[in-house]
Amino acid sequence: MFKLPVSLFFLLFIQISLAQNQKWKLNSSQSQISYEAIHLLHPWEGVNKHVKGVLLFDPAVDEIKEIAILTQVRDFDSKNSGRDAHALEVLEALSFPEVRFYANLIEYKKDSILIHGQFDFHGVTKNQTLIAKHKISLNKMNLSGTFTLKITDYGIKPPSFMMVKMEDLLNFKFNSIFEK
Amino acid sequence: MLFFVFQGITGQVNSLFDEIESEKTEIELLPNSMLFTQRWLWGEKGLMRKTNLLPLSIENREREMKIRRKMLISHQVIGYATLAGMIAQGVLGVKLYNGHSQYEDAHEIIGNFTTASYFTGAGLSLFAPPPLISVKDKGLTSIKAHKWLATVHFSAMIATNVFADSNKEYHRAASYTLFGSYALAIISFKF
Repeated sequence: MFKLPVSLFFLLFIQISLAQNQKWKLNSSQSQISYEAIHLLHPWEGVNKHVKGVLLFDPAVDEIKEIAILTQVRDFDSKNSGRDAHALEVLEALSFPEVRFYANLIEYKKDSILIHGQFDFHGVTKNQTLIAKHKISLNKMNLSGTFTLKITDYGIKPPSFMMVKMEDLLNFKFNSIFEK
Repeated sequence: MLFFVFQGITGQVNSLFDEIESEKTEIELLPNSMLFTQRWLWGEKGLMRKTNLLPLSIENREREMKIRRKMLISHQVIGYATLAGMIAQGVLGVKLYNGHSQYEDAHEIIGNFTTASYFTGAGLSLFAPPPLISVKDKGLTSIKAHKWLATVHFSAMIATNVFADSNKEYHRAASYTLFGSYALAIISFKF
């Protein structure tokens, strides 16, 4: 019987601590994610300027607590509509239209932060760590960095051209502006 | 007790994504623009939809993407075979123009095969299911060049066959135009 008030206190504590976090929204017009892909013939880049996101920031400790990022697969633009259309086929974009990233473990290092989270891509969820630079002013926060991703890890067959497959590893760069 | 805590945390994750997803975008199953041959077969009121063979749905469009991939790969393979046929025809044609009439039958047979493979390859591209998106690229792109050159070599292929027996000079001019534009179309197409 004594355990009940303790449990209620614990639940209440969680709710209060979550409520203290500030919600910062990603400014889509100033943010982007890009990938670089490599094929024997030439490399190419695809850019997505329609990224959405939100993060929870704890001002008491000056730290990001959670990040959620969402974007549509069809918003990546490599300046070649034929290639982008082929990419959507390979990625089965009708069945898996979104890419999601969620992190709730952010490690602060000397010059950078490590964002430990999960990617939800092509119906597969995998752990992923992003390395980011972090700049914060009164009402703006800039997170920029890089990460790599193997498409075969997400059940995607690398497409080929002239019987040569593209490289499995994609190099990503992101630049995101969050606002209070 | 732990169940409620877990629900609280996952609820927080879902609510974060709920905030981002406030504007739900409708998935377009067909591109804004497509070739008339594709529209005739695969459009909203196309033959495949009217006959109920492949009604418009997400699952069927995914199926169509696999069909499209197979047709376009076949288009590429047959395209290379056609190019080989054209090269052979070029070699035989020059010999014929230089008086080696013993190659006439071979030129005719290879010509028929090359014409058949050309139009098969063309059909595979023209009647393939449309892509998921169709965006007008700015400036000259490889896909634009490939399509423009296709109108040139398609017309040249017809002219080559029309003048095969009636006018040797026009036949030669048409075949050189055909080969030149066809080879350029292959080279210009990048991944």
